[in-house]
Amino acid sequence: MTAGGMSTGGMTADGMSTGGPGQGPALLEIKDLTVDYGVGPGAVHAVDRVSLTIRQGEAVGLAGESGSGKSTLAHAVTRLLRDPARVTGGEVWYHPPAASPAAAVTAGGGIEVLGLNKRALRKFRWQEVAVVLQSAMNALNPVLSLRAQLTDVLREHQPEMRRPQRTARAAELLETVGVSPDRLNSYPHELSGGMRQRAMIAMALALRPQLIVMDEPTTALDVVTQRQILDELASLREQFGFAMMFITHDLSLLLETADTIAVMYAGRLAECAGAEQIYRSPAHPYTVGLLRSFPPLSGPRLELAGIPGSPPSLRGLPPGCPFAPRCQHATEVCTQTAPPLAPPAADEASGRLVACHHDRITADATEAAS
Amino acid sequence: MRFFLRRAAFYLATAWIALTLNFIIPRLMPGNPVQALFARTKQAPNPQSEAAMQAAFGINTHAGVLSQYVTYLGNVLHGQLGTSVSYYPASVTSVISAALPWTLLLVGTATLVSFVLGTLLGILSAWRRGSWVDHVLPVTAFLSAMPYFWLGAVAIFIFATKLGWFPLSGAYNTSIPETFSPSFIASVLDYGVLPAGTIVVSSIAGWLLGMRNVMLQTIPEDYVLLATAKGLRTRRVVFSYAARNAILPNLASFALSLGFVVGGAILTEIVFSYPGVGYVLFQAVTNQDYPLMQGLFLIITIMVLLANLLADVAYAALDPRTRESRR
Amino acid sequence: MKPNRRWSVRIGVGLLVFFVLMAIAGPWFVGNPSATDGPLHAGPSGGHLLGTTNIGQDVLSQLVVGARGSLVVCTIAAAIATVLAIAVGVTSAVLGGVWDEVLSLFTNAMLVIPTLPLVVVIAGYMKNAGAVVVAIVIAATGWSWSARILRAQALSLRRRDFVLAARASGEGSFRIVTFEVLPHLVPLIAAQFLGVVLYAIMTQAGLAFLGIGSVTDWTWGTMLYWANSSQAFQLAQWWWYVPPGLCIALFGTALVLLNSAIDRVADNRLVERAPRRPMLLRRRGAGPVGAADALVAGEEVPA
Repeated sequence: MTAGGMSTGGMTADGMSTGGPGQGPALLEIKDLTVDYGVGPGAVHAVDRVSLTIRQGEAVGLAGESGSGKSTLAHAVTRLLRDPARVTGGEVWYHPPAASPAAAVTAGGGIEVLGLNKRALRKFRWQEVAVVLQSAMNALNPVLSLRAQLTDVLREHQPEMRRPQRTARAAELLETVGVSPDRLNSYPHELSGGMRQRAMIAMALALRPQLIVMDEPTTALDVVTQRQILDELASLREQFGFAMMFITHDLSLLLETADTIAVMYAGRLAECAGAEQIYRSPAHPYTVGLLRSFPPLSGPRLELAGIPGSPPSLRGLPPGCPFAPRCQHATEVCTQTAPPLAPPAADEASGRLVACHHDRITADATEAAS
Repeated sequence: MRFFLRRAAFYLATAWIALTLNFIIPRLMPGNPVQALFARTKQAPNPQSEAAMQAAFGINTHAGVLSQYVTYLGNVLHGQLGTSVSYYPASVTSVISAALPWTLLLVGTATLVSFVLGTLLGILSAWRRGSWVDHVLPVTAFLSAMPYFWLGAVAIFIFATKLGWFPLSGAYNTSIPETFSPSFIASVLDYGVLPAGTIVVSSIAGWLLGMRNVMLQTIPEDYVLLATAKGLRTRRVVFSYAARNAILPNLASFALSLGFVVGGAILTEIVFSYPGVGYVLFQAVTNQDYPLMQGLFLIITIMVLLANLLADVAYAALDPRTRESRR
Repeated sequence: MKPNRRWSVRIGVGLLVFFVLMAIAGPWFVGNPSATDGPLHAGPSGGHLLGTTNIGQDVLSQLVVGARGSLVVCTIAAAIATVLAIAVGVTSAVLGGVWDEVLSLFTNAMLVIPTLPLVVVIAGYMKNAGAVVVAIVIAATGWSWSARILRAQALSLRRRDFVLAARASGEGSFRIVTFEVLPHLVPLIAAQFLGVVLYAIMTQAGLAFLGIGSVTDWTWGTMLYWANSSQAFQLAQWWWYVPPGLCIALFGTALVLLNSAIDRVADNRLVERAPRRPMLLRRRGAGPVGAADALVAGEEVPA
């Protein structure tokens, strides 16, 4: 994740690990995206001027509580928003890599996803960006067999394929995710939770998309299955090289799965940095609070602290930083001016971003200096 | 398969209950109409009519109630429903078999058309969500509360009497011989439009609203969203994903409401003097032809049960979750 | 409530009140419906606002008196049917086991059996059956739908905490049914009652039309019977058969509208309101923040 300059890996002079966020060509650029619920002065900004870039092959984690806007962001980017949510500002640019079918059509420029017409959107869908939803029991059509649900995408996007080829392909996809192909004729209610989630992932891989957006894919599963799925995802990513937007409330998952982590609060980006950077030196007080909320498996016993207060109602947000009411470091400026998303003052070259007047990195550096 | 067997068993049990009701009811009535009827027909000194009475009611003054019951059941299973009083000496079975095809034609076709059309319109009105249906709610409530037969009467008034587009009553032009000739078929269609139209208009609102309501709950489901995300064509999303799930509760309620639909259709036949079982039932009541009334009740019930069974089969075909035993 | 829905309710209530008033007070204002002193099958005129029948009876009088007849029958029928439905449905749910199986089978069978032919068979044996008898017959065939719905709801209530608590404290089944379960079912019962009234009026009209029940008692259905027998349909004497049919349809409309309004209320009431939790355990959401709160509330913090 860069803000213009190139980031360097490794260590900086004063020993802080940068563990830089992804490099490489941008795949999906979200620019100043705003999503509102409702219209007029009473409208609620579920997503408020969020900018984020996902690089080819990168795993970006999107963390936040319920109501932080992370799911809304994902739906907006894939044009799956439902009334009354509407995009009211910003753009989403997709830059197809040379290998993808879309590249042939766009001749080098990007595709503005929000402006695609119906037909182009249908072609774009699943071929370039696929989606895995939270609860596979709800996301799989109960009356269609797995085979039907796997092959109808193929039939739509690759009409030259014949039926036996499609079936073979579907079987192949299932095998890739570790589900036996003789489950092709099964219906969703005949499968276990883990199998269903795997089937969803297989479906997402059907057209070898460039990006897969995963909305809480493991939240509904037990811990053991969760671990299995995450491991499989990692190996699938190695195998196929797709980029991933992984949405979850569970920051601990992201620390091991994601390359870059973006933390959202009240519809805005609070912080965006490499996973390593977030773990070792979280900049935003909210991120600090999140990290301190779950116990590490090893290391000294810590006093667990929650974050006092509750997530804000998005209606009638006060001016200034939305986290100010709950932040122990808040001052007057925090309640009056919203902090811009920018590199922390003490570490401008790191490529990370934080929206805080008193980010912890600068604060610690200032303290150390004094 | 187990589902099918369970349903078939249920319908058999229901049929048995209906038969038993048929047996018990005349005996519970004040004044014992059965005996009175028996005495009445005994005036025709005809051993066959006695036998026919026995067949219809299981009456046998020499035997106890239980053995009468057994005889009765046996008779019914052999298709022996007795002799009609008003169409004497025709057997009940023959009277009903003459009328049944007309009813199947009229009611069967009209109900199917109404269900299919109503469902399609319901799907459409849900997919293109305007709130025009909310405005129209009182009107649709009005339409669904209207007695079928009254609508039929109004239809006769407007289309037959005033406009002269369609004939007033009957099933076909009686001057045309009853063969499968084009002119006969044309005549049947001509005479069938008003009665069928009445049934369709009266019942369509129910199917429309029902389907629309379920679709409105189905469309927000995750799997429909995913279908859109897959880039599938709208038609496939609407029909294979949304409607295919939404229709299930409606199919179930269709089966349940068949009894009511049949009732309304019967009355429509009367208004149009359409020679189906409804019209025959009317005649039977007017002439106090109890054997015929009972026979009609049985046959109509069995038809409804069969239709229910068909609907159940269709449901099982559409919903894979019913095909295995309950967890 | 959305404005359209509010209007629907108003129309429904308005129509209902109109017909109830017509039934209660109307007959004092009109003449004798059986009097044959008017002109023969005459259209509407000053003296006879809705015209006359083929033997000179005043249609308006018949309509108003018929309102009373129709409403009385269907109210009695609905009352009896509702009591039956509660008795069978709720009992079946509370007793469970074999009783439940048997009662459910019977209920479902009665549901599937077509009602009009059955009612015809029963009522057809009775010549000139009075209003009460007709009401009983209608009730005997119309209780099954409500019974099924009430049973389903009672089943779900049975598993709720407050019923289990009552059981655990030793309350007998009958008391549980009457004092714990039934009060929650009241809105549903009200909605079902209206539904049965609708069924009753349609069935009664159909029966009367067929000539079953006393044809000299004045109801909207009997008006249609006489109209049909005198070929009024074919002779286009619309003033005779349009008003009673219209009344049935309008009355039915009122019931349907009110029914959907009550349905919504019933739905809202039956949605369980989450009990208030102690403050510290509030906000037990998923994720680190919620989990942390729970930890803080419930456990000792290690030193």
